[in-house]
Amino acid sequence: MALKIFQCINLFPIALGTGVSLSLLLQSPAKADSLSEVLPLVRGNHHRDGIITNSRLWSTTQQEEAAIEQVVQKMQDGHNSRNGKLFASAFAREHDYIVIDGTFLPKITRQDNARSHQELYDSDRTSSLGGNLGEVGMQLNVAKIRFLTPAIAVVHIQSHSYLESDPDKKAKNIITTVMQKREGKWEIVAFHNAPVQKREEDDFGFVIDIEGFEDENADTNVNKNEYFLPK
Amino acid sequence: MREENFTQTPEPLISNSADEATIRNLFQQLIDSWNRGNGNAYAAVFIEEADYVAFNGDHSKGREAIARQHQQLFDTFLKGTRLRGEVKSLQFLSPNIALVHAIGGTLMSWQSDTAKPGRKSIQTLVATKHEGEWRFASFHNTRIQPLGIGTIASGVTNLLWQRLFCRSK
Repeated sequence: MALKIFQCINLFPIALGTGVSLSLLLQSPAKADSLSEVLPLVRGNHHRDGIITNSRLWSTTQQEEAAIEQVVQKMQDGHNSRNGKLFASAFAREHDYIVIDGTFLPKITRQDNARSHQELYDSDRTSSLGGNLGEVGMQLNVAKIRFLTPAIAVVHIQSHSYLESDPDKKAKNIITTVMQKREGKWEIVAFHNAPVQKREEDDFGFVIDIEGFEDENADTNVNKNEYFLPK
Repeated sequence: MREENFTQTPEPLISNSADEATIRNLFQQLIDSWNRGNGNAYAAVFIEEADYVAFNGDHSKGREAIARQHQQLFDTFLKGTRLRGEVKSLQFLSPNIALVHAIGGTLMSWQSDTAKPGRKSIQTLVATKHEGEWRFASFHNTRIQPLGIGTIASGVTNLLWQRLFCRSK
């Protein structure tokens, strides 16, 4: 699947090419030839959190998860087709949005979100990955879904962006969203984006590099094969 | 939580002032625990299986991991630091779930209490009430980045976003 990206991320300086250690959720393999291999889809663990344990709810839970995945897909598709309205359709009519640099946009509307992203897509701004924003692809993978109630979930998303003309230029983010099912539809009520930083880097450096990283902090108690299902 | 049924419509957004005060107090407990350098107390404000995403993207899972990792930090890099913070917004998504945004900053050990906290950060937290007790189920922290040379070089960041989002206001 050809993927591109929405990005606040690419507004930031990103140094590439140095080694790094980082841990993000349940990590992907250390090295892979394509982004799709780098980005595992992690599922399953949320069933064991003890929140949803009733087997009668099981199939319903899977349906809800699928619906949540579709919300994330909308953001990805919206970005990759440079469609701000599609991107913003993942969000509640009013939602909280925290940009990657920590800017807090409380209670912004879906329309403002759509318009702002459309302006970014249509602009000729330079991406920090090189090229302009219109050339940055994005892949979003749901890493973890935790149902707090059947209608409210915390959803962690891995975000990988890359320059389409040079996929080696890439960056990695972690996004936490809070989603709520309203009138039968899952929507993002809070979105919090953050760069995955190089450890022990200075406070303000968005130094991101996923080349050859070692997952030093992976949860060693986890049997990864259970979690890494191909998309 | 378990007592709630599947629903197609939002829960009534009951903004209970007692619950709100409890949640604000919970955040204050988090700050106080940091300032005492007590990892267990810091982690105690979270549910057993909480998700904690630190500013650098590290994702800790569970109260025990949060306690252990913070105790290590409190004993080393964060030794003597003091956390200052405040809840900026709080909204109930259901009677038992609240979405909280807070802003914090740290004073280093050599700084006086009147100094301006550095390393300002913004957090998204989700609080849940279970068996009458409020705890945080998730925490995600991001540094608020000043518009430094790097960000200027790469384009515009928060200024751009504020301009874009505020235009229609």
